[in-house]
Amino acid sequence: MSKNKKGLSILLLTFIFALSAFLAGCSGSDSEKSSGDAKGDVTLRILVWNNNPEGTKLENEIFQAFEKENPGVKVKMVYAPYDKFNDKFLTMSAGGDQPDLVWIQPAAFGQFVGKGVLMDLSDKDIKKDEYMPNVLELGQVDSKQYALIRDASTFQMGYNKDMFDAAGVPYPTDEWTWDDFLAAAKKLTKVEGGKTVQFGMENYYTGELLVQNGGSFVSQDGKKVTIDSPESIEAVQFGSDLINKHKVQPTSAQSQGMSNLFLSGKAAMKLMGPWDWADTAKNATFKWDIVPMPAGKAGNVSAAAYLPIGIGKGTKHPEEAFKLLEFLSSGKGQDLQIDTISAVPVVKRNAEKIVDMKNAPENADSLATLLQEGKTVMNAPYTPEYAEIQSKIQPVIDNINLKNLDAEKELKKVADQIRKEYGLE
Amino acid sequence: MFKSKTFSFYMFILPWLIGFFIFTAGPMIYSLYMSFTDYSGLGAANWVGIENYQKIFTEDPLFWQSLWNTFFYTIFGVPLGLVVGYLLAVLLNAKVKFMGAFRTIFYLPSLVPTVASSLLWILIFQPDFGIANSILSFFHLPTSNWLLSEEMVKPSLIIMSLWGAGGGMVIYLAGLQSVPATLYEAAELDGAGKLRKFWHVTVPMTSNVIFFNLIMGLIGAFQIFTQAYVVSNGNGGPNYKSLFYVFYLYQDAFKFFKMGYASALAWILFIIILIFTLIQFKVFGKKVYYEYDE
Amino acid sequence: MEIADVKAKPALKTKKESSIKRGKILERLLVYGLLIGLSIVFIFPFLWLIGTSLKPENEALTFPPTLIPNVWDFANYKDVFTIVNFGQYYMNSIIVTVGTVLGTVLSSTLVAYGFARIKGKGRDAWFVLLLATMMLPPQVTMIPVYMIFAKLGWTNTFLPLVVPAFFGNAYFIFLLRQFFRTIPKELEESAYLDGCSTLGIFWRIVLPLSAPAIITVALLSFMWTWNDFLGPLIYLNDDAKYTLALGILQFKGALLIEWGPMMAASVLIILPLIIMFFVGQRYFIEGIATTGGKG
Repeated sequence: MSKNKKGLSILLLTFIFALSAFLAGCSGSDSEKSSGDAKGDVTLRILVWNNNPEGTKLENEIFQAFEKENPGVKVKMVYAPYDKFNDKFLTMSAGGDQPDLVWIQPAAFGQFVGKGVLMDLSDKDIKKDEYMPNVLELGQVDSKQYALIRDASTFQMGYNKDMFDAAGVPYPTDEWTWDDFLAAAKKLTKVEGGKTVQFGMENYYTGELLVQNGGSFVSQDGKKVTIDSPESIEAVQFGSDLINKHKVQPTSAQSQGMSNLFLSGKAAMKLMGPWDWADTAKNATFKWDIVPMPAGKAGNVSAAAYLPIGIGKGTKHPEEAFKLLEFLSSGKGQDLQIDTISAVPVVKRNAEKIVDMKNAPENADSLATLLQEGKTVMNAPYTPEYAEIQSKIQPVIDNINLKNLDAEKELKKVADQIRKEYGLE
Repeated sequence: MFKSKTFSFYMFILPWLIGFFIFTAGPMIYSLYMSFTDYSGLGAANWVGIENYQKIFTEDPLFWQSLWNTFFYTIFGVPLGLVVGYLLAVLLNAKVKFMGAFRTIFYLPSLVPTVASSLLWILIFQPDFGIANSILSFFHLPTSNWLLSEEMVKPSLIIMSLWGAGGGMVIYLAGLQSVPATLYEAAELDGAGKLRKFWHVTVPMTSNVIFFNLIMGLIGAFQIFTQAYVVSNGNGGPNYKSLFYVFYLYQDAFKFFKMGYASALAWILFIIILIFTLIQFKVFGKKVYYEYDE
Repeated sequence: MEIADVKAKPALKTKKESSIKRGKILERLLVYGLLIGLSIVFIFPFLWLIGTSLKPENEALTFPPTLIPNVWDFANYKDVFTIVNFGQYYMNSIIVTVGTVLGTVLSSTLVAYGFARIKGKGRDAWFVLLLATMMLPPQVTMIPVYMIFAKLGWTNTFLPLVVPAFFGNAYFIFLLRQFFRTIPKELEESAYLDGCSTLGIFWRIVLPLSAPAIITVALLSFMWTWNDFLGPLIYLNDDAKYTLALGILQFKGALLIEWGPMMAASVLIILPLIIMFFVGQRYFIEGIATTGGKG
């Protein structure tokens, strides 16, 4: 019988605990929509992904500056991890709980626009003259403006100066070519006892190879498959040769699980964006710098890496939302972001400040030049199927690299398959 | 106290029934409906009839590839996992010193988040310096590219899953503890040896939990996703050989915005698992230890 | 299985007895050998986790990676507490997890008993339905489930994470049902003759006898809820409401993963689980006494 009493008291306790857990859960649940409304304040919610925890915190400083300038408007940041971003946005939208502003992953942009999730900003008062070339276009679909860009940048080639010195290879110039690159990479690759102990290049991404040679997966209007164009084939073959023929870049078996060959002193060159500067400056035990990507057939151009921000169509505060978007994309936010979150500005007036950014390498000026001269290429069409098409071509290229297959044959095959499946030219 | 058995049965399962109707039935029907639309997850959904299903069965090679990958993983992974988990539990049911520590250690892999442990396995399977190849070459055995090899990526993932067998072990342990000691004593009086006791007492008396782990292992294996996502860097490679069914479904839903298509995939999987489960119930259900059942 | 303690018997030893003894010693050696060998394999992930969490950032990049750090550095642990709201996340995780575990145990035991022992009309059909709810990949029901909670105005609260637990968890209902079926029916029958109601039998006879299973359910439910990040990701919007599993994902950025702090946070997250498991596993054993095996 005593056991039963014990059981009963445990039961009672559990119920009390359960209840208190419930209440605790509820007390912290003041709905964000109601908060602030009492005072007549407007609360804008912006959905972002986080690049790193420090950065996410610092984003708030920019929002605070906006709140200061616009009394009565509060900004609330909601963040999700990058690779779970769509999960979050889709559920929020479907539940009628869409954020007022949203960061957009370029691969999802076509879908967002196609499904009418974003507000058309074309007839808003956009300060077009403020922007550097090719920036506004990054937020357009069928010449309608669906997003404004907050930061736009590009990959460049980072290189280990000490290794170049040791190998007696002159530093690359801003106008170097694939031939120069390959020659340098060969001299920088060191083999000891049958094992490569130092590679010329860490990993030359397919996307960049294509851009430098004027190739692409699909044409910019999304209507034509271009992965089997002569330029694309040449670019993919060049990439495969780096691994399989010249052996200046590790195979996937050699590089699997190695997070950063460049920083650990196992590779002389690496694709690098401004987002890598801080980490490299902190951890590199050698002298390093950057140069524009080596020129294939298309010159020293590289793919645009950028952050579009859109306004949710369902927002109840379109005026305030646009005010915030403008603040971020061309207003004071552009001045603040350089120092707070080390984000590359998109407005002309701040182009020269790139050189003064934290951890900027010596040749950071070359990045400013690339951006000012519009030498960045948008290489992802905003069509709904693009992400899927890309996911079908990339494995073929991986296979070419892995098994040293003939690029022309494989790419022609997959291109025809995709033409058939998606009804493209 | 209660009027009838049926009434009292429904009173007992009432919490689940309510939850089922509020939180489960609706979403399930909704997803079934969506499987007949071109729903993208955003905006409106247009009725397209059986187009999604038609496309899946006739035009989608990745459907068949991912289904085969999943079958392979299930057929080899589930029985192996059952046996390893059971043997671990039997070992850990012994009366030896530091048992608590041993049990905790064996359960550790189940506690480490999948993302972290998958990254560890990438290092173990690293072809150039990973432990797996180091051990093989020490014994002069042929080495492998493991996760980068089309043939070995699925076996590698099965090995990874065995390492997490401690999860099933806990349930077996609880089952083993419920075996009345009197049965062992009776068997000993009959002169049964260790092996006989194991086959004639332990296994039949724990068939309930074995059956449970079998069914749940099956449902779990059919839905394998995270490990493959991490080790293949989110693309199901090499050459789609680690693109498992739910992995493909997830890509369709949240990467390609084909929620309707993904829902159709989900319902096909649902039917497959259901059929498998019913077969298991028919084949094993009767043999499972029901001594005290009516 | 049963490896009885080898105790020296004062009685005269026959040849046979000593060979049995030798066999027992061999068996023990084998068992310990296996246990220790396997332990090394199984403890590896945790050692690696701790190792990585103690490495300074530049050592984490060295190649091939070291298991034991050359320099012990607790900076990553400091980062965890200073960069993110780790304490707050901990509180939130405790609230969500405790609520979920209580809800799960209370409701699942009740429902499982219904399925295990009360032969009502339509029982088998409902049971198949219960199992079926686990077979549909959650990826496609995520959105409609969210819509329900959004309609209820429960988003950005803990309610969508905790409340469903009070309506039973299919996995645990199935597990408990399997256990309840092994309880000798005679016990319940005699209690019934003593005038106990079905509910009374459930509380007084069945529950105490199922202690090991219920503790297992509580433990597993605790661990799963504690480590789950998908639910919190979808339903919570405020950093102040984030749970641990979701909060630490901040160290996984769009382009860079901060391994050190991420692993340090992981260690801090699973430490309570390890302690809880270590303590909890004893009760599987104590459970024997209550299951009436000896009696």
